[in-house]
Amino acid sequence: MGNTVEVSDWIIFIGRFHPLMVHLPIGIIFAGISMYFLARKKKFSQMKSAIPFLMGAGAVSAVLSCIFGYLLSFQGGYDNEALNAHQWMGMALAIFAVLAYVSVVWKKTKRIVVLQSGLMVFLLVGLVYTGHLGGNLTHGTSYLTQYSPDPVRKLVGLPPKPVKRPPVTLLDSADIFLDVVSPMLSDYCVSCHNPGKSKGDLILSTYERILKGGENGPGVVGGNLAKSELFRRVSLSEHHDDFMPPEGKKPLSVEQKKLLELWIMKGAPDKGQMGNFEIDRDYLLAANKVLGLEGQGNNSLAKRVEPADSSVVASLNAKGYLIRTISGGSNLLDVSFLSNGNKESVNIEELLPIKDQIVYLSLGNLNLRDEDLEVIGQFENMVRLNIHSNPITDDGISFLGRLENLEVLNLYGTKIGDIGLEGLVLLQKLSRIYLWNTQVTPEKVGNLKAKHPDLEINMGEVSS
Amino acid sequence: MEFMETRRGFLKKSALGFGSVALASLLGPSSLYGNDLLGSRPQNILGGSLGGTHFPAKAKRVIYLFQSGGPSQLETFDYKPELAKWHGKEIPPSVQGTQRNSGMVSSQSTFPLVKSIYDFKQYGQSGAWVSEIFPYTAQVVDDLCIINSMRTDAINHEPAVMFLQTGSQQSGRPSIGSWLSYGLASDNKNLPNFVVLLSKGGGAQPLSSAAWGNGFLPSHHQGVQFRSGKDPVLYLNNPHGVHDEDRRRALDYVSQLNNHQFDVWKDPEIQSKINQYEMAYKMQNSVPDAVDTKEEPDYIYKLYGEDAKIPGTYAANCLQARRLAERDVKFIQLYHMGWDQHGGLPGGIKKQALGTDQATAGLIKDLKQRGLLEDTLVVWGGEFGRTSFSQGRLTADNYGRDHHPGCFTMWMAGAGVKAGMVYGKTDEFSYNVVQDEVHVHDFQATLLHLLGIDHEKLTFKHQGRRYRLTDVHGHVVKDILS
Repeated sequence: MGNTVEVSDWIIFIGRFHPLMVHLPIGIIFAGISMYFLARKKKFSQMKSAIPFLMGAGAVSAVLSCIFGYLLSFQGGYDNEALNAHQWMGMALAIFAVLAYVSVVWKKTKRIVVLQSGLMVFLLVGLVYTGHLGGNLTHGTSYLTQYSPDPVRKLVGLPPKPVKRPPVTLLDSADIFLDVVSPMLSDYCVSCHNPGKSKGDLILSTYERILKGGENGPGVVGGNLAKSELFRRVSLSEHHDDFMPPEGKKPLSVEQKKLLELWIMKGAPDKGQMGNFEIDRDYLLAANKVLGLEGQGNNSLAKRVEPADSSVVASLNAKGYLIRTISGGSNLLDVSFLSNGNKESVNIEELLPIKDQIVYLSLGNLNLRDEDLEVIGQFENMVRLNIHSNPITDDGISFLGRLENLEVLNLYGTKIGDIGLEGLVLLQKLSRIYLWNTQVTPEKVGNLKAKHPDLEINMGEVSS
Repeated sequence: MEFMETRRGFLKKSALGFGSVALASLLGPSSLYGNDLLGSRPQNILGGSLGGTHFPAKAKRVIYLFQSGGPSQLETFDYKPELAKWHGKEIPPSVQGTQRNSGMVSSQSTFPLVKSIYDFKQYGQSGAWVSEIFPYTAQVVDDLCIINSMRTDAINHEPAVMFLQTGSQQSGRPSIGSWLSYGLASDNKNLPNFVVLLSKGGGAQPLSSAAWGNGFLPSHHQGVQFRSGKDPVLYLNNPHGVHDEDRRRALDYVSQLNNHQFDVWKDPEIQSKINQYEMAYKMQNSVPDAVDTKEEPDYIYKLYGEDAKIPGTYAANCLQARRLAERDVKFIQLYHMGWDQHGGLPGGIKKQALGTDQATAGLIKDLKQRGLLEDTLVVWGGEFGRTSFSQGRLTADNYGRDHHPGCFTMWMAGAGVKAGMVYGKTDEFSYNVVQDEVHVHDFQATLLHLLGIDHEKLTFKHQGRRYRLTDVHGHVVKDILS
């Protein structure tokens, strides 16, 4: 690999002309050989006179290519084995090219012609093979096979092309093995545990082989974490000798391990949609993170709805609501009513015609009552709800239990108590809740935090 | 068609004309014209030229706590224990490289490195290092994203402040708040979109109002400065004997006259004037409520510090900022001066910290408990950093530091920013950025991104060219987005 000795720029500079140079002998020698055979036919016999020139030019350019290629090898960064093969083949080829040239300008005898034909055929095969080795060196070994259609793959003994999974946009429709576990193993494990390399006799590129495991016993036993060697290896302490992936390779994240655990505990099925399993909140959050469904790619904000009726929006605007789409290209709405500080009442039922569009609703410091929350409880697509400093109690809060998409809930300055909070934590997507200046007790919050470590409950800094 | 056309002339013109229109639509209209020229969208005089954000905004409003003068990164957030070994030794040329010094150290023959006189400790779950001069800020590090790898192009105050605030070292470009006011519609029609609060007193360095100027944007997008006295806005009450209705009618007539003039001259500044009169009228009602901090309970004053009771202090302005944020003012810009410690740094920076630390942290806590940190972005930082070597004589308990554009620290908190993160690294001298550099234009691009704006698409055509906040630079720092 990398050479620690400083190499002169000139060497690499000239070396980099190798890819340009190599195509000369390939083309010229190929032309020479084809003419050599064609010229035996009477129709092409006039080609005979060009053969010595072509074979000569081919030999010279082959020798030059070797020199340039040797210089290029100083750049480092190539797989040594592959480099050696290409290098020796290249040099052998150059020597044979010179021999071929010598033979075509040599005196003609019958014996030489037979030898010559063999030499030419050998040269042709060598040319193709050496070129292929060089191509692999530059473009990688999978360059040719990557886009090859299935019949070709079959011919060279490759498994049929895996069907590409569409990107996951909804957690519920993600496949627990194909979308969650399998990509993880491909990224982290398969480079050493594949049919070509199979370290520890373990292959992790197919479902069957994952279960089967390697020389240390079965890889995965459905429902049994302790007997699943694969899980044991990745969840050890990083300093443990058995820890996988080995030192220097990126270990699985906490969330990824959680998902592996989930898959095994659900019986390690070979497929099945996430939505069909009963899955605890922590695992769902981990899945969201691993699949990149949180934040920007949040599916709650990517939802497609009809645009809101513009006359309804206009009339609500006139009543003092501020109504915006969440971005230029979206029909989802961000609705707020800015309090003037006098606890105005609003008629919440006016929002019902746009209830499907509302994802953000901000009605802080108004005169909302418990019965108003019954209406708000119908706004199913709601992601953020801010109803701080309103005279609402646990009775009304219970209606919010229907807002399954709710992620952030601001209830500071309301009369919510422990009972109301208990109902809310069941909302699976809820990640932050604000409870400063409410009747919720710190004991209750302490309890819930232990049970739902990923739910952020904010009780505020100071209280009245 | 007023004049006779020849057949050939007509064909030629229409062929070329239709062709270029088709070409323009093929190339994508917004990339060619910028939104200001599209014309298909009604130009909203109150702002909102974009007609909607480019993507869902994480932040709906910004509170920018500008620490003017250039707070030393070495005594605040960028902990450099290695400097102790080098204390008093000359800065190696390999470290200094080709970075320029300011003229203020040109007579200096020796450039001894100096470690921070203040100790650092790790705080919070994030384990961020914070200096002992910021005991309150240390309590909220888990809410902050501290960027230690900021870099600017300017080495002196005025150009450096301008660069951060407007994207150009020369004054005359619109400031960040003006761009937002221009691009995004107001969320509260009764208060300005862009409010500026200055701490009373200030420092040795003046701060020019061009920092919150509208540049070439219509002038009603400039920052509205609230005074740092007892009455943030003067003359809110009608003069004795003038009834509110009289004032309204007078304004209506003035507005009619102005509109008439606008029809003749088409000068957009006339519309700005109309808007400003209108806003002033609305502020007569909205400002007294917004700035009246008397209703704030004692425990809130405890949070921000006792200073918050004295109008015009940084603490009072922080409290004010929260009240404006609650009222959906889009951009609230604070300036606190006096961070320019060329000499006597240990004493000077301590004093600055005493005047700001508690209120800054108090603001974060207060915003957080109200859920406002969900959609409010808070920014803290100065215009540049300070040198690792001492300016003036280095003694056992005294030293100074000169301006240093090569690296400095800022933090962001709230909406859409990763909390409890320390981003970027400087070398062991805090002289050069060695990892994850965030240039001023990158910071600006990121700020706009958090507000839902593609920084390359918020433009204004002026003197034949389309301008934007980040000029032709800037990359969104994706690593710090949550």
